[in-house]
Amino acid sequence: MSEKIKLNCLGMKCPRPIIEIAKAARKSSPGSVLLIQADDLAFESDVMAWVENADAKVLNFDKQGDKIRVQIELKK
Amino acid sequence: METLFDFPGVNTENVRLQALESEVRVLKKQLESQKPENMDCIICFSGEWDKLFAALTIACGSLAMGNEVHLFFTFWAVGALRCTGRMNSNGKSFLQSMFNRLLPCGVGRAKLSRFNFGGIGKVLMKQIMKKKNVEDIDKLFQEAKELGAHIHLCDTSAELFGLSCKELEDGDQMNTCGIATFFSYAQKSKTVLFI
Repeated sequence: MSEKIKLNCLGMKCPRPIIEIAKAARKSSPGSVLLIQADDLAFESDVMAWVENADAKVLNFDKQGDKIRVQIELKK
Repeated sequence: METLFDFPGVNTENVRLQALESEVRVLKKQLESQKPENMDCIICFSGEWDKLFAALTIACGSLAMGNEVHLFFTFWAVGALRCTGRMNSNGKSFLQSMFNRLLPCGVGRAKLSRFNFGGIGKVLMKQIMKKKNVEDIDKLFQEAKELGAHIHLCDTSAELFGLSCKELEDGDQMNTCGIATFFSYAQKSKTVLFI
């Protein structure tokens, strides 16, 4: 069963947001969707690197100022 | 022209093809055994607070990227693995117990490599980090362990400083290791760092 998980990483600094994503991904079933918001300056490139490495897919990406919201689908 | 393979009943092309095929199989196997696994090795040597911080940040990042991480603690960094409640001075020589006493106990107790100023620099550094919401080093170490980092203690360093696994945090499941163990992991790793 794929699920939707929300992660609020606002205010967290590297490497915390990526750790949170990895932890959530471990716990959830394949094909699940993660909705993450973060404002760490390294987050944009970090999340893209993570997605590529984990064979996941970016469904949605939205950046307003420093605040980033991204929706990723885990590998099925 | 007649060659060695030319005798009645045997197709030379077939024989050569089979020989090539088996050679390819052997080479393929060799290549696969040399391919690095998703594994990283980090040698923690210096034991200074900032350098341990860097090592643990890298370890956590690598674990988050789905890699297997092996942390090797050696020389000045062995103090980072110690736990205040589990120290004992039984069976140690005078020098060993001196070193033992001077060595910091736990990652949080290590000194800054620069601007330490008798500990004031570190306090200030920690203040800035807290203000900027940067992860605390103890938490980072805990996180690395929870994400499954493998921690190894160098046998020789342990001997030098008179440390035993029993004195370390989670030391009950830990074994000391030597250089060959390190290389058995390092040769399979994609990244090997010495910090």
